[in-house]
Amino acid sequence: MELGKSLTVSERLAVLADGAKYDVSCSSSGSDRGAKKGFLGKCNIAGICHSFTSDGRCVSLLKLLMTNYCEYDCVYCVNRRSNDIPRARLEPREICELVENFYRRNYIEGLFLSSAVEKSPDYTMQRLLETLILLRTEYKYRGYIHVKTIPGASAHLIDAAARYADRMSVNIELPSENSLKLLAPQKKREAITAPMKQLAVMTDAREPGRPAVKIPAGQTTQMIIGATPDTDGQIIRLSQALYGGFKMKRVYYSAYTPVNLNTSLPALPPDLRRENRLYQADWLLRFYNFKAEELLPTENDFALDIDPKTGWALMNLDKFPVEINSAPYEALLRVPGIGVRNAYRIMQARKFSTLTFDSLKKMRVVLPRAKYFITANGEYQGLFADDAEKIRACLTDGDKLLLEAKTARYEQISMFDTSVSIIYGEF
Amino acid sequence: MKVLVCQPNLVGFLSAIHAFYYDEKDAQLVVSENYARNLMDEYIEVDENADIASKVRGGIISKGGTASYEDVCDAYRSCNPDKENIIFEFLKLLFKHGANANLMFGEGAVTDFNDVLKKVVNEIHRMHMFVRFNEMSNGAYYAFYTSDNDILERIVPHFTQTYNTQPFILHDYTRRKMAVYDGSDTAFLLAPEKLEVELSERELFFQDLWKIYHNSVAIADRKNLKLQRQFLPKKYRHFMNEF
Repeated sequence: MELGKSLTVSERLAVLADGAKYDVSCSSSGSDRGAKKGFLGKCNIAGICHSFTSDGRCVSLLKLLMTNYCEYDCVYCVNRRSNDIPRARLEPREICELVENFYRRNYIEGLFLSSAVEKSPDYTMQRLLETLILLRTEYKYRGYIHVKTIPGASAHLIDAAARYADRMSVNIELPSENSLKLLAPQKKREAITAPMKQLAVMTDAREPGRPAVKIPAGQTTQMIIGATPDTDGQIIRLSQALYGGFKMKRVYYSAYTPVNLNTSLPALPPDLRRENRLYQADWLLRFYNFKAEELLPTENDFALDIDPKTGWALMNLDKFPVEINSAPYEALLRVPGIGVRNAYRIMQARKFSTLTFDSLKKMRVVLPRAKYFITANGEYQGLFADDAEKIRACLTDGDKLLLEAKTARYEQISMFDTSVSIIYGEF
Repeated sequence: MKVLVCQPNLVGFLSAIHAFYYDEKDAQLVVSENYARNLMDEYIEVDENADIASKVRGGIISKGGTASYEDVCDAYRSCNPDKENIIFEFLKLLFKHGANANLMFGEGAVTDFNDVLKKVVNEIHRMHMFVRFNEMSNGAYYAFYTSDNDILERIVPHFTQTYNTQPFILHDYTRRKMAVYDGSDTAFLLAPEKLEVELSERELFFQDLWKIYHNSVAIADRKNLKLQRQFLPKKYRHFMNEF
């Protein structure tokens, strides 16, 4: 369907925002460029979300494809060449006008600019670069910019774009090379990993336009979950390698949404809880010092009814319960129901007084979950300290089992949040 | 029980703290003047005094550091009717233990204080997220909002930095006051009862574009209004033009 420029800006915006929405990254964090007199905008290190859509995801950035005219025919992608969909493109200046006017009204924290591959990777990357230069120089814009690296684009273009961007990313797309060959035959593994290597060395803060090329908010990537038979075990091992080797700031997981009919694709999307479990595991890798091999010793999938941290704890009951008044920080961090903030609070508060279950409650420790794995000043409230099956049953089907146990300290077990994953702008 | 009654402002509150330490050591409660009194308790009115308040400020800073004083100021912006007493209980710990009081997370007084503080700080952040500016016909921008807590002065600096080339008015509709930024200085004024705002010609065009964008990025298959409400409470939506 050739519509091109006959569409109004509004119509093209709708088409190109729709095409970009499956890129899940919407974070505006990691860059702390301050304000400067005479320039528009600044970056907030923690990021700022500006709205939330009806699916509960945050809107922090104006997420756009520059164009959805594509040379490629990736099986899973809505913009694949052989699809009969409305096509459009936005000119660099039109994008700048949108960014400036959205930014001045406090609609957005910045721009996320991506593109389908039009003509060639270099042509496309060149157009993205043009937009960035215009925005930073003529529009004197100091807000956040996340720009996609087009796989196969020349190194010097990527280098040039990095001078103007806060974050860059190239999507790994699928968790294994076989899956990539099957579903995105025109994308080569090397075309994806080469720019990742290049971006991995540019990760510190810098002023825009200065010669030392560094991207303050680093690089991220994204993979599609559930379009191929790759297991959670393989996926988190890959994420671990990406965080280590390529210094990724984030790996995003996007549950496959069927947008195309094709025999090499599953007809149904995966259970959304799977995406949620992967994000939970991802957090455990980055903030809780877990190794992928600990969370899933064999390369299978995570259980859907319990979170990966609880899953690990149930496999390692010999390490529990831990006494919160004496356990080291690392051990507290591994207790289901105790997060980074509460582990810190416990470490601080116990210097001044002996902590009890009452103190933990005041600190908002998730006791319905944590109580199976801790003692507070010698007291244990969990009923079964060494029976993984019973603890698991309590955590997943709590009410019934607890009633059977006829405990005097009856508490409503809060079920885990099994809704879709939440992509916070702050992270 | 002896109750100290202070003027309903920060100076008045800090004056009452001074009165507790120097004159009324056996007082058990600090409340503001609109507290519903009963027949049993003894009420002692404390006058506000800027010099005394300044001494208490110095005391808080020397005991807990500047950050502690800023926390107290933020907590005092709260709409919680018990805020005076909650801050009072926290300050007793602060004066006794110094900055360590901030780390005594097992103490009820610390938890209560942090809860009050957190609500204020969260709402400041939420206003940075949700306030919407509208371009007026004279090229300046106008935004109004409603909030639970009295936070206008805390919201403004973020916007004067971000929009340092953009004159704007930020209007706290709940408390009828506004900040006026002319591109270099900010003035805080009482808002007139009726404020006529004439929008620029292109303003509605960009508002429409924003609505189109907001609708386009939602994934229909994953509708989750409860989650949306959790992050973006309905009480703020009336000043956001995408709703």
